Amino acid sequence: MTCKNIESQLERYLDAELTFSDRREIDSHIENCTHCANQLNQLKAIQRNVRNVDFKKCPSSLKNSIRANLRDISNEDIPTNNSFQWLNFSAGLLFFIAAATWVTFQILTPPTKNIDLSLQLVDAHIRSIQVDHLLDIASSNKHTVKPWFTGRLDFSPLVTNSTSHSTKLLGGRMDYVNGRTMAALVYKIRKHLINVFVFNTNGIKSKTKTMTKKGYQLISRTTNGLSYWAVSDLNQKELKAFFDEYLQSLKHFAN
Amino acid sequence: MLTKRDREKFERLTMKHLDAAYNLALWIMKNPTEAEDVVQTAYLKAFENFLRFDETNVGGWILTIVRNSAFNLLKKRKLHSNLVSFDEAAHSDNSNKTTQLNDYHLTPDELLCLNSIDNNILESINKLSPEYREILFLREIEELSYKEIAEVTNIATGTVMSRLSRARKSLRKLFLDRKKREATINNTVKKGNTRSSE
Repeated sequence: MTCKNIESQLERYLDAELTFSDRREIDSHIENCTHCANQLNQLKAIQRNVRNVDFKKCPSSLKNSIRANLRDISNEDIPTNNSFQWLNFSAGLLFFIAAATWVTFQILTPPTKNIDLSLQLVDAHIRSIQVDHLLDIASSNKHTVKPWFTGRLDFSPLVTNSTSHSTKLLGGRMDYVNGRTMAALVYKIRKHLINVFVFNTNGIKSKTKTMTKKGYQLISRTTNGLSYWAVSDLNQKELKAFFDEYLQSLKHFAN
Repeated sequence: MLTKRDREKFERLTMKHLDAAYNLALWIMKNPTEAEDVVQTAYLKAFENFLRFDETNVGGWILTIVRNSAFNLLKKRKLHSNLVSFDEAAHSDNSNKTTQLNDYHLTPDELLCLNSIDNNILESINKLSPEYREILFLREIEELSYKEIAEVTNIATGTVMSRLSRARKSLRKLFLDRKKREATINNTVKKGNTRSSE
């Protein structure tokens, strides 16, 4: 075999992609050919250097965040067939009770109790970007944005100026989601838009919750009868940092 | 509908590939925050499609989704523009004939340089195109075969060979160029020191 033929196979030799007989042929050629041996050494040197690059450990925060999001997507309340076979007999009865409860619930409660609120807020976020209705009032000054809502809502949303160096308040708008009229405050971090939806709830105070819907990150908290939801395509870590800062600046959260 | 049992099974099968997924995303994106975004998106996408997955070659499946998510993001953000250009035409199935390393003619100094372990090799790797970084990662770090790389990247095996070869050539050039620059700077500093001591 000529040097040209050998050289054409050196990378496959290095990558263990040759048959045993082809390998042996190259081995014996290299023993007697300094030129080809030199070519192979160069390849090995590049390989050695690349393999010397650190293999990073996945951050535990990412691992935890993925696990949390997976739990959010899966329906953890649905029992599996094997472990709950004994419940089959009463499934019909349970279904009837659940259906009756649901019908009663739908009749007695206003539409503001929809469990798919998070998805609807994501849709509202997407809509705000797509149909060019991001802002009704464009200003980076909270003293301009906040008064704009007066008379338009039966509550006064708390507006903060830019919470940090990288965050910018763009303004606000009125939005209507799932039968509720709400305030949407718009912030920007780099190229990522954040909608903070604020609306009146009769809900009980709730802790901060994070979730992912349709690839968007959501974070929410309810307190003093107002619910705050931030929605963005920003990564969860940064969105949480933003939300924490946003809430920190609200007096009644600080207390 | 995905249940708790599905999630537990998914985690059992895929979480052990998380480090590889993160490193692949990091090699392609070059940015830890973006790499985290990519992995997060890829794992959620994988879970959503889990019931349709036949559970063979889980690692390859995850890496495919991660690399697709990464390239989608790159495409979206048009990051390709500031990288070493990627000659797509050179990666056709017939191109492997022209991608041998027989034009490697190095001086003894260059050979010595190439043989030494360089802790800043990542600097040179990061100047490569995302496609070259990806293929180097899959071959040298994950140690996948040509066939496995072809499956992950959805390209022909011949293209894997030619792309890998070109990636190595480009890296070698970037590496030696950097070493030359460093040597020139060192010589200038030495000359300066000698003059000042005189």
